[in-house]
Amino acid sequence: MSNNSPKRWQITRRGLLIGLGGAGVLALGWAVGLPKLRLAISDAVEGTEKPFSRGAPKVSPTVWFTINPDNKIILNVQKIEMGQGILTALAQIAAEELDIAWERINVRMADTGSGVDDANGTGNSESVVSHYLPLRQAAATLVVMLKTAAASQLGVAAGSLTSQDATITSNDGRSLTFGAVVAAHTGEWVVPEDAPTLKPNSAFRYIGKSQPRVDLPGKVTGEVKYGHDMRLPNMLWGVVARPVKFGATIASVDQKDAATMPGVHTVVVEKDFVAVAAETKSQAQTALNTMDIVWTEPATPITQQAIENAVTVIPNQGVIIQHEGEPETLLADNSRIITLAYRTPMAVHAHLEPQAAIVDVQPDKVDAWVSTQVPAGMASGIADAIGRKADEVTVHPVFLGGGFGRRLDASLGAEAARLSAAAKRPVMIQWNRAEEFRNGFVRPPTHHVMQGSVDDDGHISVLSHHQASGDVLLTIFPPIVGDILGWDIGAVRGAKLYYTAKGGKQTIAQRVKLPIATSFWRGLGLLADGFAIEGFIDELAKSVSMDPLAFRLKNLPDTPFGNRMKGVLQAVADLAKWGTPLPAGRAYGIACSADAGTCVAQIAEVSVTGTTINVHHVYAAVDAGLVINPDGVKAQTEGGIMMGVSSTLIEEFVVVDGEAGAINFDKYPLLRNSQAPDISVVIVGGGDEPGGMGEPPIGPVAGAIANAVFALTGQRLTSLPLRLA
Amino acid sequence: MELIINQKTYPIPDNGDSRPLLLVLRDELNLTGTKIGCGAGICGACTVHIDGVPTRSCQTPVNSVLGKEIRTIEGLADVDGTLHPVQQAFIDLQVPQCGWCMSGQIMTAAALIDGNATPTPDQIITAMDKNYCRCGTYHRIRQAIAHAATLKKEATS
Repeated sequence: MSNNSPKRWQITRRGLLIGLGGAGVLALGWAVGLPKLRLAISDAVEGTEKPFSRGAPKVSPTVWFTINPDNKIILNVQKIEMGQGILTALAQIAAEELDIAWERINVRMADTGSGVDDANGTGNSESVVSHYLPLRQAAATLVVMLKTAAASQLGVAAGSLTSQDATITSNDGRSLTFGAVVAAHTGEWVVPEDAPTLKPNSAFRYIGKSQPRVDLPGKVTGEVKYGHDMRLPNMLWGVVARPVKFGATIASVDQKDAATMPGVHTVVVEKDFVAVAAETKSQAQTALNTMDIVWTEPATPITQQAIENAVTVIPNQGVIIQHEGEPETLLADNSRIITLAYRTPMAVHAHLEPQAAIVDVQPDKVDAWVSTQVPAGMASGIADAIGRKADEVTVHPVFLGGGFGRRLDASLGAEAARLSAAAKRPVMIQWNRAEEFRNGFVRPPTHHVMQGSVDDDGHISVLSHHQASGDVLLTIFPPIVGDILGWDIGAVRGAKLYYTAKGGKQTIAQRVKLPIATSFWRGLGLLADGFAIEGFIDELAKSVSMDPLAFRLKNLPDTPFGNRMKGVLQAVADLAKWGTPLPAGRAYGIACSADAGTCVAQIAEVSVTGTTINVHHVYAAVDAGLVINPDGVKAQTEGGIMMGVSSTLIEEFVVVDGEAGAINFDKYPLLRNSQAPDISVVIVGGGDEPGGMGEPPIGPVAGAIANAVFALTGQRLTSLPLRLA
Repeated sequence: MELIINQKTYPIPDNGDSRPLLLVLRDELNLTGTKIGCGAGICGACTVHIDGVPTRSCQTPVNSVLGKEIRTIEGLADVDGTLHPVQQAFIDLQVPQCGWCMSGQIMTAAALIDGNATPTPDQIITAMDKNYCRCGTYHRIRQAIAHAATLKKEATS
């Protein structure tokens, strides 16, 4: 693919990019941004900014078509397939507007450097959202350009031509394939300055249909290659010394005989980096184990208690990020104020494929195969680590065995690059599970103080959410950024209050700097914030003896956003038959949330055995605007729910004696099949713009389950994982 | 030393050790369809068949399976490319997301329906309960195995 890639790009007046060079190949791309549906939800609930979008280059074309003479049409996207079905969804959008047979389109993850890189990476539930219209417009423009060229080649007027399945036909019956037009074309391509007419939605044949995932055949036969599966000829295996204690740094190193042990090729001992490369992984590990490495531990031991103490809401601390009316006055005066405090623990991503990187540092270039959600960032990280220019580094994307935010870390490739640079051979570094637990980053712990009151008529009169959280997004910026901002945009994802409070409402974000690394985890603050807000709303409903569904419907705003939220609540209530009696020992709980342009409501059906909470069924209604692939929307909903159930019932990462309290799944179990609920999903809404799907469904899960437990037992559980008394 | 994998014989060096079968498959023979997840026999990503029995290859010393029939995901489909009913069912129900755990899920499920043509829902859950899926495809896995049993019945009738 990269051989066919254009080396120069021309930007048209409308911002469209066309690739020049590469004979017989036409490439086209477009800058991407977030459309207004997503922005509207951002304004309503997400915070004042979009975590990845502001500050990222606006001209970041990530969508490229390549048409080869054999009429093979390749869609190159720098989005990473990590199970979310993005390759299929983007292929559907492209095939739709090109109006070609489904089999004709080949979608590939693009190497860095093969176009202008996607600086945003894959995350933030924004791949479909940001590509939907630009991809269609680029495809439509491409067809216009091909028709214009075909008209010239056939000696007829462009208006007399029709295009069907990558073949252009004139009204005298002659036809040329797209590939033939491109192959015969001479001179510069002319991009039309007028925006092309897009297909009407009524003519869609792929968008809105559950096209089968393009990556699944290779995933059931073991053929698909993930980062951990990549191998290169002449490759060495690398291992890196990593601290067992959080915050420990290398004090001294005695290499002993490591360098002369069997199979050992290179030993690197630097101030912050000790690593071995050998012919086999066990030889490398044996050599590293031989070395005497002394670690300096933090002067103040890091304890679980200290972390929880730090992540505790302190009145009058933090930054007010949402303020309407006069909440302070009401909170101070109102004798009816209800206060509940919520707490969520740290959690690991537990992506089942441990991360891996092969880097081949060569004199004139660097090639890297890295399990990453951010190929462009990884290329920069590798270049910086070995003193090379970013454009000398090509990161070749690989399939990911789960992402969940863990692979937004751009540091992975750097260590393989340093070792390869020293060894002058390709080096593979694979993390193991203990390293993932000890040396990765975790979901930040949170603490929430919810306050509010309800009038006799069932209207919320005041509502306040004060959140304390470890960092999410600030982790990847220089420390001064966090010091100036004072709050973390990612930590407060989902923190803003979307209910109407007649007298006023406020959200306060209290940033806590922790001594262990916390950062991105699916949904960022969404799971924790949804747990606190939706659990508390249930408590407010109870305070006036109202049905939790009716209370929510009454207190959501009469706005387009509020109506979408009411729509998903009503739809999930219909799906689960809310209000009809359940078998003895079963109860329902309901919750909703909004994120990334998408509204989700869920109902959990639970029972209790002793102190064990069983989640039997989760019903979900999703309004993701315009849906590209309904089964993909359902799959993401199911996945978000399952990950949320696991966090709600089981997962808790703790620090013990200054180190990870678990280094494998024996002490940090995940949800198992027998604990996994059945799931029913209904898709509602519609319109002309898609919403995000990777993260929103995780928002309501914990709240729905906790509210069901309350309905069943009367226990209002306010800490994750839920533990019955 | 030799291993019999997917009915082919693979010579491997005799290092006089008991290194795990998983690492031999992945790192020495480049049969990377079998995945590593935890290295401790908990997650099930590394499941292969040893004489038809689903087995954690990360906990299986290579010298314990000499002469035994090892089957990995690469050898599950027929030689003509016809997928095993479980593989076909996992596509039909669009089960995999990231796919990393799927070799282990599919090998575990294949052993189940190869030995029990009509598994009950409880038997399916019991058989599959030690295979983690972080993407959360559990209920699709349950549905797909029931579907696979139907496919198998149709194919043999």
